[in-house]
Amino acid sequence: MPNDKKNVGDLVNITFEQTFENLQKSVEQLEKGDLSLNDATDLYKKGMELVALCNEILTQTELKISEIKNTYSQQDSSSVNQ
Amino acid sequence: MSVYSISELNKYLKTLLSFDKILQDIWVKGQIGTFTKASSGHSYFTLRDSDSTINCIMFQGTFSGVNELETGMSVVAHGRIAIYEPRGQLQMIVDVIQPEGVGLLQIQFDQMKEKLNKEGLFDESRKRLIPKFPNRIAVITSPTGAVWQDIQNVISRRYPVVELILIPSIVQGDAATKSLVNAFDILNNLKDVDVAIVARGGGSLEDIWPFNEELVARAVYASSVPVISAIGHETDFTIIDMVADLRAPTPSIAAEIVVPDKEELLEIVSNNRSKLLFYIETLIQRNRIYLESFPQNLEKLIPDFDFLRIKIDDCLNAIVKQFGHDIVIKKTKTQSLLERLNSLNPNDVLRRGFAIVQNKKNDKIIQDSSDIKSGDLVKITLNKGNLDAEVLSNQSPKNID
Repeated sequence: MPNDKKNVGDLVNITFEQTFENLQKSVEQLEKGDLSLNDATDLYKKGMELVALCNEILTQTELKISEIKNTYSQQDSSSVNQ
Repeated sequence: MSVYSISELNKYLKTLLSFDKILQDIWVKGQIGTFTKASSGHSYFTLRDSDSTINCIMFQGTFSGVNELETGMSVVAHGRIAIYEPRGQLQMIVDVIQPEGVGLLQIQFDQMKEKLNKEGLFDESRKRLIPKFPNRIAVITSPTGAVWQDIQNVISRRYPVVELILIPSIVQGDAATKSLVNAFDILNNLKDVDVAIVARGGGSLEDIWPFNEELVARAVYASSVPVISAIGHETDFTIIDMVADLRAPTPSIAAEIVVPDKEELLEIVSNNRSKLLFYIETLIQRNRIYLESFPQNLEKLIPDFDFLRIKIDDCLNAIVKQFGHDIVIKKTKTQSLLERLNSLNPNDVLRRGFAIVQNKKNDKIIQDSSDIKSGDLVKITLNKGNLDAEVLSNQSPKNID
């Protein structure tokens, strides 16, 4: 049965993968330590935002489930349990 | 009533046999009687039981589950029944042969495995990587079974950041093959699906048989996205397990494999947060130390006046010293020059008793007697006073000698 749970509205278009990768990159860049204090501070801010976003995506998103309506019902004559 | 020729009869029998569904696709079991292998590579043998015998031929390259066929061996064979017209002899053309006891399904399984393997459907080189962070996962399974629930539960717990798309399918019985193939067609038409799971719970070899069907195997092979197969229990192996990009021992494990673990990710994120904090603090600390060092640096830039004063004094002393030294040297030099000059003074020579003789006419100093003649007047300068004199005679140096 269709079981559409609500997805966190704002996060729909942001992929976790992209956010997570950006965070990793920010950390690596900051780790190199060859940035000016200004740039480093910007990067730190951006990184912290990405941390918050990652946490939000991971903890706030609910599994989205959809079901393809296909010819299954017509074929549903035989036993399909299992 | 017609009269047939033998050829016509045999041809008719052959046609009759070829239209019989059972005889064209038949499994038989029996013992191998006489067995010969022709130089062509084809095998000729008889299969028999206690009452009957049939001639068999197996062409070279036919799938065989036994290494060497020999007389007395109990076997199960698959093939078709035909008549060999020249001899009017009924025979079975065997295309699969296996030792008895292996089981029919197992033989079919092995046969399919060999066939698809030869075609390259199991090649490791074509296995696709399962994406690390999928967004949309298609699941081909029965919508009513525990498997679908298990997959939802596992993914919901591990990584709810995805969309699960159920493509319902029959997974058991005769209709399953068509339904599964249809499900893969639907999968190929879906957009933005990253990976698919085809799953079914445990069951008997017959129950999971649809997943050994050629059509299903080819559907898995042709899938537009990577496929994880999860059929039955850990010990169950199906043909599609070998075709799929990845085999999971069970449906639940497939769900674990297909997504990363939320808890692990949260920990990585947390570690990254700590790193960000650490690096920025380190950087700030470094800058603070740098700033704090400024007053000291500034002081270092101011000249040391005391030192300079001493240095100036030293310079002065050195100049005075050098200057004094120069004067002494110059005095000494002047003295020696004066002495040399004095020694060259002609008066000095005159004092020692010499005299200078000059021609009275032109004041030229006479150094050679040929410079003057007898009777010329000369001027003689002495140490004290002068004399005018006349040359009385002139003697050349030769004459003197």
